Amino acid sequence: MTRRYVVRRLLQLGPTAAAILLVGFLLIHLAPGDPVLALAGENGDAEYYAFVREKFGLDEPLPTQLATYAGNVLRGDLGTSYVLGRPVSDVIAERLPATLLLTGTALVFSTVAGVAIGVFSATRRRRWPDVTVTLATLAMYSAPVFLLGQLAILLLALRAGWFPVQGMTDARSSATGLSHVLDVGHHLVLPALALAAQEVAAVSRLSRVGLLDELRRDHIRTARAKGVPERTVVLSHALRRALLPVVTVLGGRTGQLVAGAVVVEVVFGWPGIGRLLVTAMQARDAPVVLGVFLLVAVTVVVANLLTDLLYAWLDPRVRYR
Amino acid sequence: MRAAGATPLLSVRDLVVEFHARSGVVRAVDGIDLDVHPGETLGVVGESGSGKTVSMLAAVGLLPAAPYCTVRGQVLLNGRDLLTLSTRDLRALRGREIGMIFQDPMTSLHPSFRVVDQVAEALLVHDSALADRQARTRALELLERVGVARPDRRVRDYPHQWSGGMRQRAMIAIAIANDPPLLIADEPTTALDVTIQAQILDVLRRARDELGAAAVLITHDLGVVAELADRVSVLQSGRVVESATVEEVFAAPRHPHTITLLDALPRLDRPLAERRPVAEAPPVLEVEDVAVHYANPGGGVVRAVDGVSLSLLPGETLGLVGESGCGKSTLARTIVRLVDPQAGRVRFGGRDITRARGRALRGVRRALAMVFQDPYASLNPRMTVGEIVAAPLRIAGCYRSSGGRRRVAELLDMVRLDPASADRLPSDFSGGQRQRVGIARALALSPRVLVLDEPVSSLDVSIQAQVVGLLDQLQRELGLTYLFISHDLSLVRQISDRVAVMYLGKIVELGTREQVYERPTHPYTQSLLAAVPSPHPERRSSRTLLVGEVADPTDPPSGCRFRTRCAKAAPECAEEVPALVVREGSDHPSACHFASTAPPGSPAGTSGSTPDAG
Repeated sequence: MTRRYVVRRLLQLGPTAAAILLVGFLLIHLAPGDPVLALAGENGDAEYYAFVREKFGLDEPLPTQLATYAGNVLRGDLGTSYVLGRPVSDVIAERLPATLLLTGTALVFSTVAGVAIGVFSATRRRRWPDVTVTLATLAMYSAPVFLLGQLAILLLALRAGWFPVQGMTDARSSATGLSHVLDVGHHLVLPALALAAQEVAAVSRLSRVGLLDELRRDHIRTARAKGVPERTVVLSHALRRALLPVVTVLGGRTGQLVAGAVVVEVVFGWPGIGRLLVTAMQARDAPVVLGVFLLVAVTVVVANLLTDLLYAWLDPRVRYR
Repeated sequence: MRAAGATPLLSVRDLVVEFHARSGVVRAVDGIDLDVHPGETLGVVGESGSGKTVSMLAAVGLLPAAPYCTVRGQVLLNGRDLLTLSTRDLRALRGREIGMIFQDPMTSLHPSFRVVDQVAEALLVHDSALADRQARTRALELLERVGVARPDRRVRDYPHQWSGGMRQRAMIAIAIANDPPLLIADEPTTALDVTIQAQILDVLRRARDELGAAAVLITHDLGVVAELADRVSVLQSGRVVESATVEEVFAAPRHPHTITLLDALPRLDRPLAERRPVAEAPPVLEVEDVAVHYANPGGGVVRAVDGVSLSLLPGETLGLVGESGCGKSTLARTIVRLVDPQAGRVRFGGRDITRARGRALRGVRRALAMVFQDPYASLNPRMTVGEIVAAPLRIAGCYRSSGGRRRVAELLDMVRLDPASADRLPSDFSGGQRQRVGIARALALSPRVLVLDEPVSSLDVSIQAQVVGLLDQLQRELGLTYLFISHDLSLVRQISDRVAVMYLGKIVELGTREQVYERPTHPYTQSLLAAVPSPHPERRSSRTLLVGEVADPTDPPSGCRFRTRCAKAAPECAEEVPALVVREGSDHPSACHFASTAPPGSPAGTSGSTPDAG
């Protein structure tokens, strides 16, 4: 039955991806502004414009363009960047690892730290540690990413000098091996923390409430009546289901993190997809914008799928619906 | 009276439990003393809020910690004071020296762990040397011991795949896993059907006797106490008001509260109050061959109601009884048009309302009202009681013309609630009061027929009696007709003129109250009656228990649907569906090929007639 559930969910991916492609394509092409102007400059003559239009297939009717684009995407070809003149997939592939590293670290860190903080406050409900943590997380949740990022740069990088200000690697060194890893890790700390901050707060609130709710349940009383140690009661019996809401938001949070990454990458000069997107939008580089859009959207969809599968593991009743 | 005079196994002295809420201190237990001797079963009886559960949870340290709740006094188990034990020692003792069984089997097991593993865990936490495999093998043995058939085939099952009765068996397996000398059972059968209750009480009794364990049986139901307990302590408002042997309590109760509880207990052996004769008139409500089928999420079609015909005469009460899952509620919902039937017709006042819509349907809804089972779930917690009662009037557009607030006050007064309470929220009311609000809401549009779907099942016995009394009085004053649905046979007997017994989507027996209760001919009716706890501690019979549980409604047995649990089942039962007709030697319809007043188990007449019947 579980297998059937997985297969059904996988089959739903196809139509979703098609819809994403359609929406993204239309959004870009219905937006005001002529891509030819971006390609050929504002002051070209009509003949040159027509040449460019024909070269990039922009003279075809929109449905034909869409069909061509969809066919190309299916073959793994996301088109050519107007500005860079290189395949979009190459451009994205170049920047992808940096973003994956940043958002992946933030996702893992915010989940682990958030749940840990949630367990800490739930087991000390309404006593001073809980109240302190609650206030701190609320403050963290209220602060926008760009503010946290700038503050972190000002205080921890510029004033204290503990962390580098910009970039992913130290420009002056060309270290390899372990020292390269350490260098990247050192650069990663501030952007990852800035990106994770709000998520840590959100996850900790969710897991605190979930755990408190779960600890009131009858089956927790049964576990205690069996003589299960309190630690196991909290970490195994209660936490498992308390994590359900945390898992529910995991897919959505991936989207949030990618959106946040755009800001963080700009603030910290992180060479990832986010900065690529901002540059491409400024230059009206439609193929790149569309390529990034597709990639991000599909990532969120897949994240949601994984969420649902994880959900079925945590709550066996889901599998049988 | 076993082991009187010996040192008690459990001795509670001057136990006080206080809850500290923002609004002040609530003293839930106010200095109680209890003694349980080795091998003895103590029944702790009282209404909701009398402190019976709280006192036992306090004794084993399962109440919330200090700022929320304080516990004082002494709880000695084998001479050790549990209230002064460290958390660690108390934990080691729970499950090993005290096994606990809780009320609601639907919520008491962890939904995300396999049942077997939950039983095994009870062993593993107290024996670090035990390997997982051994624990699982032992868990399977335990499940078999409490009557789970072929547990080895259900190793991978999660609790939601088990019925309430099976889950309660699993709870008992957990409780007895470490052979504890003391079992505490908190309302172990309250959430179960009468047939399953009889099975579970039987399992509990055998488990207790095999272990030679002492037991504390917490319940509001004196019938259960009569079945199982040696001594009884009656609690009221956190104090013990009477303590005696079970025989004394039933034969010569001393405290007025005990007498009240005994009087409220619906029982099959009490002489029946005469019902008013029902006037000869055409039926007000007719159900003709109604079938409701719906798709099962797991595949297949659930035949919830499968060809039911009934009629209600004006002013009468028709009782509809049967176990959970036999289609009673679906039938009720179909009658009030909350569910659309696949086949058949519902006629109200002679008019076909099966496909009524719009204005016609609204007309039906004014004359045909429903009272729901759970008064905690069927009232909107954000509406005041006045708004809830006024809602039908507003929807029908006659709030002002009917008198507005005056009408609401009148309705509240009708159900014996203070009209001044109209501005309060449901959360300010007890379960019984909430159900009165539900009744007032149903009465708002002056209906002719009330469909009552288990209206008192979630209430204490004494509150049940009050609500049933109120319903009876309203029927007389307002000339109402009731369809009264319940799984409680003794209750249905008290207030019904006629009774229909339902099994797996079909009516299997139909007759007047006297016919069904005094001369039942369908084996299912007979088994249901035999399962009712008898309030005669001196006559604890070894009754014939109805085996198994209601069959799968997506795949009902061929022929007679009851045959898989029937002692009289013969080959022809699998082939021919027995019709609901008056059988030879009987005076009322019964859907059994071998209908006979002889109970199942005794030699049955093959033709369905017995010399002494009729």
